[in-house]
Amino acid sequence: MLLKKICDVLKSNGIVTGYLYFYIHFVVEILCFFVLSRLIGNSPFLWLAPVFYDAIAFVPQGVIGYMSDKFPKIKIGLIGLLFLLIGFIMFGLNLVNTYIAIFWVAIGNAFLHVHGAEVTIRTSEGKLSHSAIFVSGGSFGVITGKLLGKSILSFWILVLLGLSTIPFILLADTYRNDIKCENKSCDKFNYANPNMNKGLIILLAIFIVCVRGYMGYGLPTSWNKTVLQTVILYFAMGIGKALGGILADAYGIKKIGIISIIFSLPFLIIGDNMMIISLIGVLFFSMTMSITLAIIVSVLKETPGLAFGMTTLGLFLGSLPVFFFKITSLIINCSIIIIATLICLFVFLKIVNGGEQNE
Amino acid sequence: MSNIKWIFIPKFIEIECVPFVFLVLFLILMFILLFIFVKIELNKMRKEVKNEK
Repeated sequence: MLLKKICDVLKSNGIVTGYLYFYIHFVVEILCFFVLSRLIGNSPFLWLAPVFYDAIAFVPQGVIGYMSDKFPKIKIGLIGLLFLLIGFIMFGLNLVNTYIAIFWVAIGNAFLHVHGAEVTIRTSEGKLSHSAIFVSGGSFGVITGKLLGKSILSFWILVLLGLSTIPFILLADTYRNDIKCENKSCDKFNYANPNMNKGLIILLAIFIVCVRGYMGYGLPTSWNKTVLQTVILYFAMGIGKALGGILADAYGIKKIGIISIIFSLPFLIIGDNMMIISLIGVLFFSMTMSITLAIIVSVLKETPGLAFGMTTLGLFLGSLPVFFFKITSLIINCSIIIIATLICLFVFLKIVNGGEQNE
Repeated sequence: MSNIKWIFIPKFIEIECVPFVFLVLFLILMFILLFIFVKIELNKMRKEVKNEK
C-alpha cells in the first residue's frame, strides 16, 4: 500500500523536472564541495572560507529568485553554470585570489539552486515531491565532493562533469516554458494557515528552517567515525529529504510534518552511539525540508523563487552559530534539540493549513 | 561556559580583512533587498485581498 502510493507519486505529472534537477544539484554540490574540501587543508582559510561560501551561496538566493520570478526569460540556470565553472577553473588553475574564486563558485551555486526551485515548484501543480527530489540530490553531491576533494583527481574531470548538466538544464527550462500560465501553477499551493498574518507565517517558517539548519550541524552522532559511516549519514539525509515530499504528497503535509518532527526526537537522542537508530532519526529529521518550503510558497504564490530564497536564508542563519562555537556537552546539546523540536512542532501546527486542502 | 568550545579566530582579521568586510557589506545589502522584496509582495497581496472584498 505504502509502496504503491510512493510509486504513484514518483510517476506524477511533471515529476521529471525533479529527476533532472536531482542530477544537476548533485553535480553542482560535487563541484562546490570539491573546492571547499581542497581549501580546508590550507589553515588560514579554515574559518572565513566556509562562512564566506555559505553566505554567498545561501543569502542572495531570495534576491536572484525574485529577479527570476519577475524576468522569467533570463536563463538563470545557464548563467549559474557559467559562473560556477568560471570560479571552479579560476580555483583549479590558481589564477586569482581564493576568495574571488569562491565567490563565483558560490554565486553560480545560488543561481542554479534558484533555477531548480523555480522549475520544480512551477511544474509541480501544488505537489511537494518535485522540489523534494531536487533538494535531496544535494546531500549525495556534498559527500561525493568532499571525498573527491581529498583525492588526487584532476579538476578538469569535474569541469567535464559540470558541462554534462547543460542538456539537463535546457530540458528543465523546456518543461518550465511549457506551462501556459506560469503564475497560476503556484495557486495550488494552499498549505499555509489562511487565518494568520502572512508576514508572520514567513517569519515562523524561516524560524523552523533555522532550527533545522542549526540541528543539522549539532546532531549527536558519536558513532560517526569512519568515511563509510559519514557517507551513510549523508545518504540518510538525502533519502529523508526526498521522502518528506513524497510522503507529504501521499498522506498529507500536516500528518507527515508532525510525524517527522515528533519521531525524529527520540531516535536522535537515543541514537548518539547507535548508528541505525540515529539514521532513522536523521531520516525523519530531514523530511521537514520540503514541507517548510511548501508553506512559504503558499504565502508567496507569485514569487516561488523568492520563497525558496527565504528557506535558504533560514538555513544560513541556522548554521551561522556553528562557525563561532561548538557545544561539547551531550546533555546541553540534547536539551537544546528537545526544546527546539517542541517549539518547532508548536510553530508548525500554528502555520500549517489545518484543512488539508492539498491531500 | 566550559561546555562550549569557541571556534572564532580573532587572528583572521589580520589575514582576511578585505573578504570579511566585503562579506559584511554584501550581507547587509542582501538583507535590505530581501526585506524590500518581501514587503512589496505582501503589500501587493494585501491590496488584492482588499480589491476582492
